[in-house]
Formats: sequence, C-alpha cells, structure tokens
Amino acid sequence: MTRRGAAGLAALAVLLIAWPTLIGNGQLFFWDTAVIAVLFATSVNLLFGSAGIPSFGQAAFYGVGAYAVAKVAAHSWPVPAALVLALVVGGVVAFVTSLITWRATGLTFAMLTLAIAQALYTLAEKLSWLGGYNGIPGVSAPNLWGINFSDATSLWYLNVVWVALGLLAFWRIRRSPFGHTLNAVRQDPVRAAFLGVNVRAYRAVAFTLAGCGAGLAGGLFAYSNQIVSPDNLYWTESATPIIMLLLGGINYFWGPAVGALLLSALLNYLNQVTTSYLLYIGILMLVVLLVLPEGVLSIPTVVRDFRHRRHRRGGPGRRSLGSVMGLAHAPPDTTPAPLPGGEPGMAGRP
Amino acid sequence: MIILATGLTDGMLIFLVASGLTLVLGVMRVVNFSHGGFFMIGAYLAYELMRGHVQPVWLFVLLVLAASAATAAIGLVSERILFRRLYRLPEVTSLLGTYALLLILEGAAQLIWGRNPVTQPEPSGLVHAFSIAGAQVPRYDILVVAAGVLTAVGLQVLIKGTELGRQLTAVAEDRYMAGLLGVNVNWVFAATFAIGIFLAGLGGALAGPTLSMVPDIAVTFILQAFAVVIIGGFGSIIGSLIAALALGLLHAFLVNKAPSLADFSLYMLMAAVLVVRPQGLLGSRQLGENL
Amino acid sequence: MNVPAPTAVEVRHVVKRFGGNIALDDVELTVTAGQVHAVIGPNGAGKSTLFATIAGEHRPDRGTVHVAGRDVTRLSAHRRVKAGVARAFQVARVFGEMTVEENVTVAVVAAHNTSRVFWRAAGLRRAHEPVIAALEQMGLADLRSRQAQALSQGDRKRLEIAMALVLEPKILLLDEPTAGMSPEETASTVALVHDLWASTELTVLLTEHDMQVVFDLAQQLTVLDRGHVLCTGDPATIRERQDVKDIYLGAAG
Repeated sequence: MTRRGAAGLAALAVLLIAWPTLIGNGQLFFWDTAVIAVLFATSVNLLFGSAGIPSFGQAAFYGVGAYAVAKVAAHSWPVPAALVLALVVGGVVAFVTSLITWRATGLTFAMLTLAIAQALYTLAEKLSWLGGYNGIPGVSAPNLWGINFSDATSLWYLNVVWVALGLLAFWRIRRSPFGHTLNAVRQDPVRAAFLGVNVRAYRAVAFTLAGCGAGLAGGLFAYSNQIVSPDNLYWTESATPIIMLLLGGINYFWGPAVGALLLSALLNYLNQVTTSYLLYIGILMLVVLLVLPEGVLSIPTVVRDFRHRRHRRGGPGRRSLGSVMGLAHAPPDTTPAPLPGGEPGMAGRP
Repeated sequence: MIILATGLTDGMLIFLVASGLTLVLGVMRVVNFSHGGFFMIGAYLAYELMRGHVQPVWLFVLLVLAASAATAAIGLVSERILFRRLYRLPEVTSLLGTYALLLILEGAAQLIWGRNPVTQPEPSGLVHAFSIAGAQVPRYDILVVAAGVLTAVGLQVLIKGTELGRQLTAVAEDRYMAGLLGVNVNWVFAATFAIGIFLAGLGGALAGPTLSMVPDIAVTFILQAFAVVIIGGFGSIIGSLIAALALGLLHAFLVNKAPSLADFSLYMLMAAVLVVRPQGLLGSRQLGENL
Repeated sequence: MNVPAPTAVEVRHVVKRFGGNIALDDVELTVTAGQVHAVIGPNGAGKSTLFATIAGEHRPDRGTVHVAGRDVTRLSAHRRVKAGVARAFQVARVFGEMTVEENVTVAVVAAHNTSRVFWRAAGLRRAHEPVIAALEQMGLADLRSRQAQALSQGDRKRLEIAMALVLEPKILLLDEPTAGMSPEETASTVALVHDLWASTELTVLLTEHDMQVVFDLAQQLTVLDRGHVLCTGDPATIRERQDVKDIYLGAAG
C-alpha cells in the first residue's frame, strides 16, 4: 500500500469514527443504508466489472441474507453469528443459482437471474414462515459484549466494521490470481478456455462470492431497517446496485462505492420531493450511459484527455459498462468480421 | 374448458407483447427492456380514451387501434432519440439503456395516472360469457384470441410475403450486406420498431379489461415477454407463440388445480426449458453466446 | 511419464457435420512427436474445423482424437489444454485491455494452477519471474507495459505464442501463423517456429496458405480437400503430385 493510500485510509477511518458526533444520531439511519449499499454495489461489481456476468437478480441473495438474520434475531443469535449466517446463506443460494444457470450466457442468463429473484420474491410473499406479504418486523440486534445496538451510534459502528471487512475481502479478491483470471475471462472467455481455464466454474465461484457479499449486506440491512419484507427481493432492489455501478464507474474498485453514496443521496432527496423517483432515476441512468459511460470516477480522465486532445495509449480507450460484458458480438463501429477460412464452424465466434 | 379459454387468452396477450419484442430483437439486435413500458402505455392510453366507460364494440376496437398507434408514435420518437445511438453498441448496453427508458416510462405513468389501480371494462356486447362445453367462457376472450391469431398470421404474411418483410429478413441476417445491397437500413429499423411497439401497445390496450391497471404491469409483462422470447428461441415468432400459449395454459391450469403454485408458472416453464436447452425451443443459439 | 509418446496427435475416423454440411469426412491424421506437421488445402477444405476439433472447440460426431497417447475426444477445451494442447488462433486472440505482461501472467497463473486462489495476491507476485522469462524468450520484454490491443498483428501473434508456451504444451496448434504479416514479420515468425522446434521437444501442427512457409518449416505435410485427407507425406514428394496441384488449380478456376 502506498504512503498516500495509507494516509487516505487513516483519514477515512477517523472520519467514520467521528461521524456520529459530526452529524448527530438522527441522521445516522440514512448513512447506515448508504454504507450497506456500498457493500452491496461492490459485491455486484465483482460480477459486472470483473467477471463480465450480467446478473439482474442480486437482490435474491441480498434478501435471503436479510431474511436469515430476521429469522435468527428472533432467537437472539449473537450478531456476528447471524451475519456470518447471512453471508453463508447468500452464498449457498447464489451457488445453487449458478448451477441452474450453468449453461446459460448473455441475455438468457440475465433473464434467468431476474426470474429466479422474482420467484424468490413470490415465494417470500406466500410463505407464512417468512411473514408473507408483510415480512418480518421487529428485527433487532441483541446486546453483544455489553454493546447495546439499539443505540444508533453502536449500530453505525457495526455497519462500518462489517462493510469494511466486506470491502477488504472484495479488494483482495480483485487483486488475487483469481481476480486477474476473471478479468481475462470477461475479456475473452474463448481465449481463457484455451489457456486451461474452466470458464463456467470460475464464473460460478465469482457468482457465489458475490452472493456472499450480497447476503452480508442484506443481513446488515435487516438489523438497521428492523423490518424485512418481500420488497427486499423485488427487481427494483436488484436494479439499484446496477445503477450505482453505472454511476460510479465499473472500471474502478471504488466506483460502486461512489455510485452508492451518490445514488443513496439522490434517492433520499427524490423521495422527499416527488412521488415518482423512477422517472428521474431513469433519466439519470440514460444521461450517464450516453454521456459518461465510464462513470463519475472517469471524469478526471475524461477532462485530462480532452485537455490534451490525444488518443489514449492503447487504442479504443477504456471500457464502459456495456462494452465490457464479454458478450459483445463486435466492438462499436465495426462491421461484422469476415469468417476466418470461410468454415461453417466459425459462425458466431467473435 | 375454462382453463383452455383463459389460458389461450392470457397466452395470446403475452404473445402480442412478445412478438413485437422478437421482431425488434431479431431485426435490430436491440434488447428492448422498455417494451413492457410501451405495453403499459398502450393500456393507459386506451383507458384515457375510454375513461373507464363501457364502449360499443366497434368503438372499442377503433380506440384500441388508436391507442396502439399513439403508442407506436411515442415509440418512433424514442427510436429517434435513444435507440439510434444503441444500434452499434453491444447488446448489454442496449439492455441497460432501454431499461432506463422503462424506468422513465413507468415513472411518467406514475406521475400522470398515479399508482392506484384503474380499471377499464370490456366493451358492451362482449361483457358476458358464452356457454361452451358446460363452462362459462368470457366473450371478451374471443376478441383477444382473434387478435392474437390475426397478428400471428399477419406477421407471417408480412415477413414471408411482402417486400418489407424481405428487407426485414435481409437486415436481420446481415445489416451491413443489406445496406450494401441498397436497403435503407435506418428506414427498416424505424418501420420494424414502429410495428413492434404497435404490437406492444395493442397488447396493452387489449389487456386493459383483463387486469387491474397499475404502472408496474410494465415489469410483470416484460419479464413474461422476455421469458417467452427466450423460451421460444431467439428470433422465432412461432417459437414465441408456442411458448406464450404454453405459459398461458400452464398458468390457467395451475390456477384451477393448484392455485398456490400458479404464480410460479413462469419460473417453472423457464426452468423446464432453459436449463436443459438454453437456446430455447426453436432457437439455434443463445443471444450473447460466447462459450 | 517423461518418455514422449511416439505420436503426438492421432486423429482417427473423425467425422464432423454442421447442419447438412460435412466438414470433416473420415479424417485420419497422425502427427509424429517432435515434428512440424503442416495441413494444407484450399479454402473450405476443413483445416480450421480440424484444428478446432483437435483443440476441443468441437466434438467430433464420430471418431477419436488422441493427444500424447491419451484419448481426449470427450474432453472440453480447457481440459485439453491440461492434456497438453496449446492453440494460437488465426486472428490472434489476446486480452486487449491488459498489458502484455498481464496477458502472460494469466497464462502463467493458469498453468501453475494458482488461478483459483482468490484470497491473496501472492500468486501474482510469484508469477512475475516466469512472465519476464517468457517475454524475453519471445523478444517481447520491451513491450511488456504496452496494452495488448495496441500491438501490431505480428506482435499479437508472438504474444499468443508466448502465452501458449507458458502452458508447456506437448503440441502447439498454429492456425495460419503468418496470415496478414509483412515479409519481415513472416521471416521472423518462421525463424521463431524453427527455433522452437529445434530447441524443444515441442510438436507443432500448423496450417498455412503461404507455401514457402510450409516448405521451410514442415517435415510432414497433409493435404485436405473438401473434408477428406488427400495424402500425407514429406513436402518434396507432395509438391510434385498431380492431384495436389489439381485441387489448387481446380479451386482457383
């Protein structure tokens, strides 16, 4: 870690510790949801940004984690145990999903993930064991080692600690040989396969890890929100982290985090001034997609390049959310390439 | 019998939506998530024209067509503004961009018509039910099924039998080559999109009397439509028809025999087909397939 | 087993159809270990399909493929890599957004089986030395920080070969290695393949349209025509055969 990086993190840590004093207990609930969103969005970016996996149903694992905590909180499970359970449950459900979608790619895969999440949503509405339509209220974290979590400040620290752990985990994953290989799989799965990489298995592992992160975020949400309901599994809950990635920039590790903070603030504001935040979120998403496809964190790069008016070294430049998914048939502005050798077996291969 | 009738009706509605989706997907290679939004707009526009009053059949049909045309017009505008920029981009970008459009459409509908359900009754003369084989079959269903059959036949005729259809097929196969051969690709795209959105609006306007209208029907129907398109197989209109009818029938069957499972009918169908055959019933490859 | 199998690749009675089209019709091919073996034939003869079948991209409808004595017919692409097959594509496939160094790292990490480690970065650091060694072997060391998509076609092919060699394959499949190259690049590629063949026990199976390259490099030649094997033998003999000349002239006419 660089000296600047370490100093930055230290400053951030101080800020986070002092935060309750700085802004007052009343505001903390918003910030709780914001940091949980940071974790959730970062976990989703393991899929979109690193692995190139278009999952539109991550709320499934988020919701499953939330429900897991809600159920065991009623039995006064200690908080760390409950959160680990949420993480594990999220991972298990994600793993099962990856088995169901094993052979699917692209749009089929995206639709299957969406459908599975909606199926779980429907299930949650129907099962009385899960509280049915109304969900499970009254989720509260039992005291731990003398800490009383009904105090907003303590709850804040709980969230910060676990989100930090989660982010650390995803940071390490991204920097690991596995993360590097995932990146390769995203760019050219065929090439990766012919280097000996079992592409489907790697995607399944990535999917499971992301599910763990989502589950943990859901578990934290349960304690903070104190109510868990089927809405936590609805498709809008899956859409939110995706918009956060788009907003912040998927190329950057901190992209989802920045996007999460920005969008949370925006949603908070919008909910106060209008009944239909969907409209404005949609417009925002379009603007970002068309104008700043690499997200907010790319602004410095865009400005710098505009100033120097040079082509960045490396040809077509860096990637946007849409172009990286490893699903593209052709890069932008090219015509379909002639089939090598004219052999029928090559049809459809990029 | 009631199962058959309801199943066919629901299936036909989904088919109407799915057919437009398949068309746009196949010819333009754009994954149009907002298609469900146009379905919803069609429903609401029809409602706006009829304001919840019972209409005579001929007027009803006229207004439905008017609503569909209006929806198609909105579609053309969005084609010009948004979709033109998405054509050369990979499928997933268009997925996200059209998703944003869906949010916009649903949001706008929420603002204009509110979130509370509204209803539009069937036209007079089709309100009650026939008695067929001992079961009560709603007369309105006949209209819907007829519309679906007409659409299926009409599309086949269009694609196989007309000049436009030939151009559509050419562009779907290879838009670059088609352009070289003199086809005005932009125009074909606009026409395809207009037809596709018209069908979505038609589906919505016809669906009005069968459901309780809230903006969120945009999403319920898009999920079903997409699922049907994928289950039926990429680019196959007949495939979508089969899948849509299968879905409608399965759902009706479950509502009758095992109601608690009925809401899962879509997922069951998806699992049954897509896990085993990811390219769908009549499809040859998955969309966005790599390895 | 350290004793190299006498045959590196055996293709027996392979049939491959696409729709109604028979791409490979009862194809037999034996590649002797340690040799450079070329497959030639007019367009549409089935060369790419044959390569794809050996590499594991396609499963033959009938017949078997053996690599280094082992039946790999049922193995998927990534398993065949583990069985000793490495492949370079006609249009070089590299990871465009990554630097040259990062590209080779992917190969090293995959070959050493550390790619499954997701909890720490140590494997990537340990890969550094083998990566540099591989780059130097291929003369790519000063390009190591260049983004792969900015490389020339020739350099991309060298990068691909560098990655393939990292896998320590028994057999290297080269699909038109000099396609689209300038005469200088062609010459250096030929020299490269020649050196590889001379200095290692590597078996090379290549397909080419450039006959000069074929005759410079190959000890054995197989001629394919419309999915059939026409003949196999040493280049000098093959080039004199009338039936070989005919299929080329016939295809051109």
